[in-house]
Amino acid sequence: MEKRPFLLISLVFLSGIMLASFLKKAAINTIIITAIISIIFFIVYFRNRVVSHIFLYLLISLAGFMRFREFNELPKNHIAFIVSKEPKSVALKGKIINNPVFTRRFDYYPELTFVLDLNAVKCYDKWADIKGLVLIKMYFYGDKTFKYKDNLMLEGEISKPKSEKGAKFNYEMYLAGKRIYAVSRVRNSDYIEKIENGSSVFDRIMESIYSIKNKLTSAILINLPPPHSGVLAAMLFGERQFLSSQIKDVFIKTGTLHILAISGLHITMLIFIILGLFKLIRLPQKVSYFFTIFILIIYALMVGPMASVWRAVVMAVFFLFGYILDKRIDIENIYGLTLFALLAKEPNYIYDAGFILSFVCIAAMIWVYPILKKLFIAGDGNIILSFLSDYILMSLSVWVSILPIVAYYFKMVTPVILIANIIAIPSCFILVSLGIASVFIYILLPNFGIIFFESVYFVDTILLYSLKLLSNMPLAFFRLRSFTMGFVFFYYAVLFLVLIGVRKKIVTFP
Amino acid sequence: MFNFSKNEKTIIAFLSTAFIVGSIVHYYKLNCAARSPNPAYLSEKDFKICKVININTAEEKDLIAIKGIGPVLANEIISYRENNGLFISKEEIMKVKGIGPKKYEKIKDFIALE
Repeated sequence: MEKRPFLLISLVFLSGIMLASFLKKAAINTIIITAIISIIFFIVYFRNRVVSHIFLYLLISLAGFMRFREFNELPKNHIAFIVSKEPKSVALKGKIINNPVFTRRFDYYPELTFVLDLNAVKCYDKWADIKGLVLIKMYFYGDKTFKYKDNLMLEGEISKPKSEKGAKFNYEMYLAGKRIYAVSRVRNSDYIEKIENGSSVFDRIMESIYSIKNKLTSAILINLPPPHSGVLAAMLFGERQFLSSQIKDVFIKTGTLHILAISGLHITMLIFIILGLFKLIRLPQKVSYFFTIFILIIYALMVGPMASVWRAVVMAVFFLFGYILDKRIDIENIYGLTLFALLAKEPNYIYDAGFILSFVCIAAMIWVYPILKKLFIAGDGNIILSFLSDYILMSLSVWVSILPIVAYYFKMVTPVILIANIIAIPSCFILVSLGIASVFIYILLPNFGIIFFESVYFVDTILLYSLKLLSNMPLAFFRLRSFTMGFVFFYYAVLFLVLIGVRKKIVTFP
Repeated sequence: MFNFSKNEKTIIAFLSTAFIVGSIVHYYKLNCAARSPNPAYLSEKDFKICKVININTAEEKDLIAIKGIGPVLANEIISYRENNGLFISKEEIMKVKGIGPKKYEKIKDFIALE
């Protein structure tokens, strides 16, 4: 553990955050006193390694606890204390803090959605200094355009977020995890006014990044028909609003929704492409690593605050820095460091299914896969068989590890994922690389770009057709009536014991 | 003549394959479009004429063209629009007095929002 300090530090920090999420009403004075006592004991027993480590880890856990509390503390003038389930007519003043998203759903008027960082709220003819984030859903906005960092004044109906009747997904909790406690529907463009457009250097950089993203997404939408445009836009830029519910359903039933969520798979492909291009222009290796880090950060900002993206980018950045500094790369340490960095920045990631799935997948690849590989593969055989069996074992490791989380969030078990991944993952690699090539070639040479988009269409048609076929197979998936958090913990406890037992056997009888 | 590295050869091979496959698909699509039936050969009976009314802009005379909506209901719809703003979803029409789930099922294919 000493050689991998970040793993234990991150787990202890995570435990502090989880404790804080359960003990929301614990007195802050108790925590501070415990922290002071821990510091004193740490200093007193500094020479005793065991005791000093115990108090050090207690301090780290308390730091996690305090960070969660501080992150979720709402000021007295927060919008969360004003809204109720009943819609209320209000006027709002604030700034757009994300890239507005245009969604067209069947049987609904086209909707423009963005998050407004409030400055003031007017209720009953009086402006009040109210803070917080509100999710704005705008309809009938006419020719008006909205972008990141626009200062707006608008009128609409505000209320607490509501889940749809009979839906298993808790929309209110999902938004609360992003610190959004209110939703406002704006139905009339007459009451929308842009106030002024002051912005910092960072704001202007983000505006340019979003503008580039919108141009690249438009290139996809112009050249590919739905649903293929939706699939590629989701894979390259995290824009899921162009996917129909039927297409999402096919991916969910085959357990391959992960290829539509930008994560390690996509970032790895992106790094290969970037480094490949730098190699073509004969850029020195370490310089190309620096530029790759820079491009990855821009890409993560472009895609937006998706946990799986940041997990993959932060891990990749640590890896690349390791290569630049000629340090030995330890995957477990980087895993721990990434987990710590992301939780320190945003403790509410513990509520994010994408974050949990992302880290559990990597944990499966690091710890579960090597055990299964030793158990099932003896010696070297045929290269193709060896590659296929490696592939299936990796898929099995990940499936076994994420099964309870998928069951908890989606109320579904998908055994067909083991076959589906054989098609989905290579297709994802091809689509990401072809998609990037098509978009950039289209911008430089539109007539050539159109041809490359046709090859994307071809690959995506095969992928969607195969997944649709697999989703209709008997026993492809099972729906569950319920799967509680208790079952999740029980499953992981059993899995942990089984893996420890198997590992001991392999070590004793290699 | 060209001294490409292994990396460069892989990229060129990949892009060339993509270009060839894309060209074949593009040619096939153009061919299919050229061979599609001439609409002039289709008679009026081949087309199912279905008038859809925009409930956000329709006047009373447009709304009563929908089977199941009479003058009273049409005025209720217009009144709802004036008091509550335009309809965001088709299902929202069920908030109009006189339109319940059964009526909605009958009219939903003949109403639009834009």
